[in-house]
Amino acid sequence: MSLDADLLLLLVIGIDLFIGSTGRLVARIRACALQGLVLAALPLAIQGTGVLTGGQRIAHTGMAVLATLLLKAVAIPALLVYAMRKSGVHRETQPETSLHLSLLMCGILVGLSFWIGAVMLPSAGAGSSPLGVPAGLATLLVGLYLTVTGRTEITQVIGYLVLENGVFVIGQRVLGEFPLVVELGVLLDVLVAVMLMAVLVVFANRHPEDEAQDAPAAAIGGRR
Amino acid sequence: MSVVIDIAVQAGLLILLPLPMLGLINVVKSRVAGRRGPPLLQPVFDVLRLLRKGAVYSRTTTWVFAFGPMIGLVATFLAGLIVPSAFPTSPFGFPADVFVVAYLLGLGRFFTMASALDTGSAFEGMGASREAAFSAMAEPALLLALMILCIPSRVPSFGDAFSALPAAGGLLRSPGLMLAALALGVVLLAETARIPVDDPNTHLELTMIHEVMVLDHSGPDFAFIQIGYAMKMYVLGAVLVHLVLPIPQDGWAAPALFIVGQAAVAIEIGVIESIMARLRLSRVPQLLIGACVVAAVGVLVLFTGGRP
Amino acid sequence: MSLLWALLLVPVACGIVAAVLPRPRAVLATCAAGALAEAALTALAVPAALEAPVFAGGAQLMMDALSAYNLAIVVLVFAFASVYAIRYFGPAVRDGTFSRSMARRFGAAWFGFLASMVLVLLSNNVGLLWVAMETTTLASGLLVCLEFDRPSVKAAWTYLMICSVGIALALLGTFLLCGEARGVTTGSQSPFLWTDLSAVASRMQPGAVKLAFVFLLVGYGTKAGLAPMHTWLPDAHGQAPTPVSAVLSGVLLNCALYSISRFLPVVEKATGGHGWAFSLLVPFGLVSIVVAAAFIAYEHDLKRLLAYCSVEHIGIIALGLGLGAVPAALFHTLNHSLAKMTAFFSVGNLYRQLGTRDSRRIDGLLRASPLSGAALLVAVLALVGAPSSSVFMSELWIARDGVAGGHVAPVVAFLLGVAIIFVVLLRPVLGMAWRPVPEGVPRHRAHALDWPGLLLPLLLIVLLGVWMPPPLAQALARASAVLGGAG
Repeated sequence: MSLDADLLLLLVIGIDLFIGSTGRLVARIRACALQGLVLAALPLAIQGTGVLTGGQRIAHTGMAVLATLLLKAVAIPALLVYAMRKSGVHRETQPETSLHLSLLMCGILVGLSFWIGAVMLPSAGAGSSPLGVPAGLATLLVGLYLTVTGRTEITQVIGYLVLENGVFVIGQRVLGEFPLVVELGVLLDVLVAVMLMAVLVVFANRHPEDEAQDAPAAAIGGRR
Repeated sequence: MSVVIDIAVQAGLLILLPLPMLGLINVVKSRVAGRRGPPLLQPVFDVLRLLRKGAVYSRTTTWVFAFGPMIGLVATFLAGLIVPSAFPTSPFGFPADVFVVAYLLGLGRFFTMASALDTGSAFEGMGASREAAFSAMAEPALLLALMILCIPSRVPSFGDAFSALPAAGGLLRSPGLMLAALALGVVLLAETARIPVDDPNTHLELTMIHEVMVLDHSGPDFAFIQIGYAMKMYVLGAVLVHLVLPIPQDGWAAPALFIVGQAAVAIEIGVIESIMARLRLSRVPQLLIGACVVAAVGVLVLFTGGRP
Repeated sequence: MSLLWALLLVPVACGIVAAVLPRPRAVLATCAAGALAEAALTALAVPAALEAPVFAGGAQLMMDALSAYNLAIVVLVFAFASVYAIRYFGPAVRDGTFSRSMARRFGAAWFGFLASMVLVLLSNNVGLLWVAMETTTLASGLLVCLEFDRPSVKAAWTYLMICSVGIALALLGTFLLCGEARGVTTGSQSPFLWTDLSAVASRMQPGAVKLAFVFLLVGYGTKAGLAPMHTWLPDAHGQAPTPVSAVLSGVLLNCALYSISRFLPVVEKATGGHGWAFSLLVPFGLVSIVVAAAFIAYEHDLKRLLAYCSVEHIGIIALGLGLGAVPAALFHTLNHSLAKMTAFFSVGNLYRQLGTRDSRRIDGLLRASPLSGAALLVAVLALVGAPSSSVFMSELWIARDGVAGGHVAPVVAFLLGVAIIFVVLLRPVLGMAWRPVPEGVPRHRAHALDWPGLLLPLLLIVLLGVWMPPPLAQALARASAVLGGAG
């Protein structure tokens, strides 16, 4: 069981690095969706030591997996792709740092998070993967890095999502499982946040001649 | 007696296997493309033909140009003797041989570049400069991957590292080793100038790296270069094979398994070349940096994971 | 049905109604009516909660003295702002720029904002607290870009981005804290419930709890506008429609600070009660005051001036909490909300009337617009802590308690910062007020509805400056008892 978790967490780190190394927004969004998929699978691999048992536990995990899958792997990436198409910005044209440097930075951040994970948060829990905290921290830091250095709005949103994923991985590691109301609430908030951000992205990149029409209506389902 | 057999197998494989591997790649590429392709032993015929010819030396060149290919071949050959082939331990292995192998490969590369520069041609100089730039990025990845390899046994020697692998659970039980294999694969492609880093089939094209360096070599010199090049692939492939396949300590199964593994490496290269295009030159560093980062993560995973 | 549920459901219901009403005027009326209903409900619920915590929904919801006190401020400001919104959007409704879709968006987001803030205050589940806090960001982000012109969209973007990222760190802090608590909770205790957290706090490991609190402080501190995480605040407060600015500045920041203070007692118990968590607030408070002073000196947009002033006051409240002057800090919360709200209202009126918010281009304020001008002057005088205003009293109280607690150096820095702000904030406002009126500017006559919104809060400020009503004093004491602060 533990091997699966290890591999999934490694995949999470790998996706971080990939996102850091590509300038194409579609690729970044797809990677983000893949990360959401991995995140959805994570509760299946990590067996928490929570209070729930038996059928209740299965129902709980199932709900969490399904919600994560739907939102993080399907709905949010679809929204981002939509916003990207609509805003006409397809790649990170003038990144703050070159892609080589950004990949290297992401690598350094991953290294840093392993160090922090070893020094500050010694892995005490039994049964769960020792990679949980480093992988989560790495994802968090890479997300923060993307948000700070990203020039396009889409990259910043992706950075935010990656950061959120990182928080979830760490949470999964330290908590085993979340109360359903919290998990669903957080997911819903992220979805709405991304929706709002997508509308703003579309608006911010609109051509001046469209300015006259009602902006949100145009962004949500307008012409063009 | 068994030492003699060991040495014979080690050296025999090193001499016999590399060139047919090269041929196998071409066969695979042809078959994937739907052609019959050249015979498996075509590279051997090519080399024999080159050895029979005479060499042409430009008046601007010095002894560096003449000796470069030879030194490259000898360095790679020595590295090939040290890296275990048929069995997890090599008869020529010694403690800390990992570093020696890495730097023997570096030495060979240095002399290939030096002899390219020695021609005084701007074109070959450009190739040498690219080779230097990319190998500077590939080398950390190689060293980090070798480091991962040595973590389970805590001894920087191929023999001990490969012998300790089964105890560590092998590749499938260890995410760190998987990352090492991944990084090593990329290094293999970069060091042997294969797609997606370089395209061995292009000549006289502005984006190539390795081929441009050896344009002025002819006859036996070029044969040495070809052999050395194939041996380098064999050496790196051998490390990869031992990392991936659980090769037994003795018996006839070991060499067979090893040859199958090397063939698999060649086939994989062939398939990659068939389905991928070469990367834009400016994207190559990214691939190599990525390999470095992957290998570094592998080191970290092995150190923190507690499960080597 | 418990009153707590009613407090949550009334705004939600009103929001749904407002989102389907056909006419902008009706939406605005619903806003006012809903906010007043919420205020009435709060008046019913608060007295009981001040006595003993009230629970609902299987202990997921809780109202104790601290949340009751903050809730009272929230609904007070909301009620004033909702009534003010009718006047503020009036001209836009008449000329059609406040369209139906905009009105519906406004109504839904307005009540969503109110409901999420109420949930922040009533949630006993720290995870739910985070969810509600993030929802306030979303709802208010929608309010900031209500007009959807370029500057407001940019401001909303900055706001959403910085606050969402910041608050994600608070989520990490929450997870770390609850993860630590998970190891020590027993039986039916849940590591996510605040009441259970404080019950088991003394058994948690100090190191892990400290780490978690740092994340919580930075995360919620971003939302509270504590420097150096305040960068989103001037844009958002400056670009939002004025009623929204008043609510953002008057109560949203308080709610974020409330979220931090919720964790103070837990962290204190876990770290042995040496005041570690409180002391962490002091530097943030001082930096906020200093940064605000520096920016106020070079700012001319009145709304942005007030926004930086909010950074200052949040800094003062954080400092007060940090120095252990908890009742004084809570009192300051109320005073700041009242004064800031009034100041925003009068700036909104002036903007509508004069078409500019640039302090250099407004002259003869007191003559051109006697009511709003005078209200702005008085409100700013209160905000800079002029004597006989309640802000002066609470600042004095903080300084006195700080010195009594032996924190002389921070208090001196605090007083210096406040003195600088006294000068730099008052200077532009006095200039606007007393410069001669330019030729041809008509004297503006205030509408009858303008009077109560501006005068009542100011009267309250002056009244509280000279007399502390015993019920309020008692409420402050009870609320600070929750935080473990001495009187």
